[in-house]
Amino acid sequence: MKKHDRVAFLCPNIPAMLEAHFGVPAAGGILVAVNTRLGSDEIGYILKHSGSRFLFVDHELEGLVKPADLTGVRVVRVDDTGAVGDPYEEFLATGSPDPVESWLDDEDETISINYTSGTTGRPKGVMYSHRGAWLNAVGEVIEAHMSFDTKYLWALPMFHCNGWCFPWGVTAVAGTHVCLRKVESARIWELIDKEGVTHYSGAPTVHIGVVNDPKAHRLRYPVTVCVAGAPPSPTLLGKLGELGFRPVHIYGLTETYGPHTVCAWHAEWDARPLEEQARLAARQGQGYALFDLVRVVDADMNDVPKDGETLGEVIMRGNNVMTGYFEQRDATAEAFRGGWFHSGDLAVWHPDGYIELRDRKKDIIISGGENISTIEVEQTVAKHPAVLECAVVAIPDERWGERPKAFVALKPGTKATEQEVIEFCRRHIAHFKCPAAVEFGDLPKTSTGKVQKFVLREKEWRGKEKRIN
Amino acid sequence: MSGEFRDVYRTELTPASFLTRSAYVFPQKTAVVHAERG
Repeated sequence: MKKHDRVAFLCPNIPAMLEAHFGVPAAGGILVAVNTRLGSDEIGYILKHSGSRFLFVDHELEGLVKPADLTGVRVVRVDDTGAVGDPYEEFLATGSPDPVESWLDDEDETISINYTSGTTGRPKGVMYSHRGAWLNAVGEVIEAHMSFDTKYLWALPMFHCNGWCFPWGVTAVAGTHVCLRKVESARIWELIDKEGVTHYSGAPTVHIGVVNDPKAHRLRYPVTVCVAGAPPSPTLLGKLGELGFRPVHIYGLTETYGPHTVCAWHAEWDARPLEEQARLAARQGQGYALFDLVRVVDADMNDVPKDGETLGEVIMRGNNVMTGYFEQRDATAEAFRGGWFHSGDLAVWHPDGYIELRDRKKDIIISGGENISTIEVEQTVAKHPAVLECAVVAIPDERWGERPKAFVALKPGTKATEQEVIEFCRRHIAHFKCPAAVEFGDLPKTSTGKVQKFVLREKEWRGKEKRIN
Repeated sequence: MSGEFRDVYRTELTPASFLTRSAYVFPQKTAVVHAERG
């Protein structure tokens, strides 16, 4: 192995995956943690594009790489036994116990490449530097309040933004990692009750599962949960609080090492009515203590007014931004235009400086010339007592151009009709923002629990030449 | 950054060093639990 060789890992959240976050960079390599829910074709593309020379693959996932062209790639199977006879353990045993000399010359060197899921086109390889990963890891320690006593449950996939840099952050304070192959709500409750888990992270859908699980009960001690990946509804944040969780609402993208902003809590908010507290907490906040503040700008990159109403794009710069897309100079230049990273997320800027996401640029609904935030509609639908979770997308409309449609998953054993949900929304938000239609059923999701709105959108726009009206 | 004494006041930052330090200071503490393996 030569310095900067790419080393791919295709594994669930097992100890080997955690070890990779230290072993690969310590050997001078660059870690490419591959999303385990991709198809063989996408995995093959990532291995090829990254130029990976090694692939460590979990025994249950071997079938995924069988069809890929693995010429020039040394493949090592990981049986996850930790015992003699496991090919991964045998591989480690062939290594020298001596420390590697001067494997890092410059902290700006690349430590990992994380491929974005990419809803359109091929995935892009987001490069993290040693320096950036160090800073983000320490940032997580500060914002998630981690310490020597931390028992961090691996609910968030480590292949996603290197687990938001938590493999390094938890280790920095000598906390304990609790690994598990598969995440289920009931299992999370068991591990809280039996292992004394103090922290875990996940997208809202993970937390929705936890608070609605039959095993849910009031916690005997506080558990800190980081929520990101999609905007959580005030309803969800309120429920987590009721059970004794301490939700830390954070926001970022693969290009910002995972989280970049946090909705830092203000003591004076404790006196506000609970519903208002949940609404304040559902905002994305501002940059971590260690990172630069974010801006919300118009098309000319001027700040939008801090009025909580004007929509603009969130942009970031500084130590927590990727160094670029691997071997994609044009895409990097486009994302970094004007000296800032353009997130593609639309937000409003509040008078207190906090930002609040309204939509992905590509998700916003324009109906009769008015912007409709799909997030706002989703959060309204989520207040309905029978609703487990919800996604809103634009559907084509002859008269208005676009109208919102809600896809709703109901809680087990509950009922609601389309008309009921629409009427419920009309009591809470402007009528033009209310869903024109409601469809019930499971929501399509990515491996990290993000609802795949483009799948829902495609379904509704089938047969149309464009995807916007 | 450069200078005669650079090696004294500058270490390249890498999160891989966190493991070296924690292993040195807390050699007996549990670092990883495998929920399925026990």
